[in-house]
Amino acid sequence: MFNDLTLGRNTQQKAGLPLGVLIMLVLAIAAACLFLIKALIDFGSAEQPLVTLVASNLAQSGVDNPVTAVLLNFRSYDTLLEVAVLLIVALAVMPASTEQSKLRFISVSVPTERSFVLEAFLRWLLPAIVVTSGYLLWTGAALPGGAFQAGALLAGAGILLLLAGHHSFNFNAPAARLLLVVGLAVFLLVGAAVILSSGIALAYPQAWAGMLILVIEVAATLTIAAILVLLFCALQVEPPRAKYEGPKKEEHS
Amino acid sequence: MPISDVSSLLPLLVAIPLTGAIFSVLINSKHGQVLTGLLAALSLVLVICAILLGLPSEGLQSTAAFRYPLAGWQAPLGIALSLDGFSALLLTLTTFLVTVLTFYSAYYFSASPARVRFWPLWWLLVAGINALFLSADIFNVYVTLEIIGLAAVALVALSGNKAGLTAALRYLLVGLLGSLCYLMAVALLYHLYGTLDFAQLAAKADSNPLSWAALALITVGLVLKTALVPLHFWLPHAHGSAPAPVSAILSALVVKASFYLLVRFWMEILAPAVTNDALMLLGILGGLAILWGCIQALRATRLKLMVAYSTVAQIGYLFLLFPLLMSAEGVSESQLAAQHQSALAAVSYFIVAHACAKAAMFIAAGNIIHSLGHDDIAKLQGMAKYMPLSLFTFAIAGGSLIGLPPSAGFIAKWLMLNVAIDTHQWWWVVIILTGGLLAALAIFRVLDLAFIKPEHASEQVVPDNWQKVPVAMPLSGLALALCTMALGFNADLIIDLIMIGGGE
Amino acid sequence: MTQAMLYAVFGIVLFGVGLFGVLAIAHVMKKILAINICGVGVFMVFIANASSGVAADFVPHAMVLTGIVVAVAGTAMALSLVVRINALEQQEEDA
Repeated sequence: MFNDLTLGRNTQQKAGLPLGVLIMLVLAIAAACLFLIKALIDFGSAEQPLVTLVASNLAQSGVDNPVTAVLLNFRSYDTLLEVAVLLIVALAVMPASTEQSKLRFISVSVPTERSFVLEAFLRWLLPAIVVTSGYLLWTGAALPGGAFQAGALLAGAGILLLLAGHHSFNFNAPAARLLLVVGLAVFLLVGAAVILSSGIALAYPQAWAGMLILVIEVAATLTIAAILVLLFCALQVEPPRAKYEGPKKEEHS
Repeated sequence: MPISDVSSLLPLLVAIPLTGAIFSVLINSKHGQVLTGLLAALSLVLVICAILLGLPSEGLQSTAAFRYPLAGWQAPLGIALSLDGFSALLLTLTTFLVTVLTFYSAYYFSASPARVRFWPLWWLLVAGINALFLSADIFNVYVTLEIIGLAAVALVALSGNKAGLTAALRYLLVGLLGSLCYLMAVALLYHLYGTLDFAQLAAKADSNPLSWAALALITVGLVLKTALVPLHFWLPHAHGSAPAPVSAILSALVVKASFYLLVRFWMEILAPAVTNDALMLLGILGGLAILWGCIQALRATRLKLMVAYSTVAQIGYLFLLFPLLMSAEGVSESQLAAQHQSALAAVSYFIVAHACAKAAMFIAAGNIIHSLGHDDIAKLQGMAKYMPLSLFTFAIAGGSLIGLPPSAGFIAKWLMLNVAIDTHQWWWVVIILTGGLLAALAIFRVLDLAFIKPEHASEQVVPDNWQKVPVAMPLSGLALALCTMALGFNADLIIDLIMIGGGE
Repeated sequence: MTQAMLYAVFGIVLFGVGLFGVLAIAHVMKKILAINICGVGVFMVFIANASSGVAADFVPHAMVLTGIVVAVAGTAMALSLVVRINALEQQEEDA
């Protein structure tokens, strides 16, 4: 079932599993799902002790949004490890080359084919995206929002910048590598520094909790945005150029 | 809240490797990364020594595990780290192997451009493994499983050739599927019991259809990650095509991490939902794994593939733990607890013995590839003359895998046989002995070729592309192999450690 | 059956559909999509169970957010491997 992975681009599609196996598979999965559904329905709903616990401790968490409180205070360790997961993926897809590490992070050049509409649009859009991203980050303390949402939006700005063609990013540059780890590093630093006041790792002193969470989130936003742009660069397959030439020539003429 | 001295050291075991990863991203010069690696390994060793010294001696058996409530929130609201005898043993093993392999990798990757990405991924993998052994929260375990899975895949893909990348992709898909099965079980357990903490779940768990479903999902997911026959198909190629230090840690520790979780769930967290039939089923699969893995190892044409298939067989031995936990009629609670303790001690011993031996074997195989540029078993004839240390390492580690006295492998199998006989399950004795015999055949096939001279003078092959490896590389393998011997003489150390904190 | 229960049931069905896709389809892109469908099923069960009581439980919401990030990471890693394998195959063809 996993031994015949096909990419389907150049190899002719292999015939799948024999029909008998498929039917057995469907029956087995259907039986398992039915058992699960029946068990779940028979059980009904349960008491949820964490509902009251989260509500009663929300005031001490430093934020008003319960989801943010869980993510960055009650279960902040999960989020710390989640940032590490993102770093792993960033490292896995990063182009490996030692020479590039001396080049600059952002290089500017004039592309051969310019898209004036996108360029003009970007002048308006980019500042708005950056401000909106900052707002999402700030509002995460009270309303839905937070580091990941803000980072994703910021990454969108980076991707638009890439598509316009003037800028290219080199993620082996020292500045880029700093961006990739700053989220994890600040999280770790804050987590360790609070030991001085509370004696326990990641336990923010109540008066500072809101501030420290914001500091962690700002760093995480930068890292998340950088990693998402890196993922876009790494997964970008050379687009078939011929298809785009048609409409652009009309534009120039 | 008061936290005892040992507990306060626990977060360091995760923080140190993470810091190591950050610094190896920032400072990506060759010496900077090696220095970071050695410093991180050294501080891990210091921390684990401090923890071991702080553990209660065998006289004072404390029943509660050491706990550290992260962020100051007690479970179920927060996440706790916990440590008992079993996890302390695995953490010590991890630290020891990581230290030796870090030393080895410093040489292995010295000329390779892959080192830039190897070092940060290596430390992230170590952080994931330590975090998994320390975690006391079932959702947190999911995140650590993903760290381990993704970092392992990224390390396998470092080889960069098509076979390696395909193996990595298959490994990744299997790993993601396994994690999702596990996550579904987490959703069910949280719905059922309203907590994610190990100890609180263990106190609340009972036998009902939803618990069975959760246990089944967890078992399928983790067995997929542990590569028990018949879900082992991804392992040989993933372990066989990775760089040597990566293969070593994958075989020695990564598959053990998911096995460790299985033991936690079956013996502790969901123990009331476990039935004798289910235990027997896992045992039968384990028995099949031993035989199938050994036969495939005999048929393998590449050395690393042979070692990888031997891992499939050795995983089978680990799963013999489960039938040995079966409760017979008329056995009292305390007798059953003692039986569980001795079965767990045997399997822990097996984990340690196999981890050291397998890491040594992959290092030896890595040296052979480094020197010859291939690991075709048929072309190894007479190579003992050129690589005496590596083949000597291979022979000692092989002896431990077969279970020859006085190696650790022998003691492990001896302990296991004892429990099997005590519980009147003589058929496992037959399987364990057959497995040892088949493993001996596979290993002697290689040694036989390597240590004899070619029969005809015309076949005297001078190895092409001969490259001498730095002497530190075979030496680190030899150190591990000799450890399996040393452990054979000091069995009490490990067994005493397991007993701390109940182990169960 | 409550509305929350209905969502949980369909979460399980989605999980089953995804599982079938992963096991039955050989095409790698479809396998990756199937794993994502599986993931969505699991997240739906989490969220549906969170709202089955009197008040919404926020802990599963946070867990799902973490889970989504991890799923994105896994998908990105799989896609990057596919891209690299594809590039190697193309090289082989050209050579």
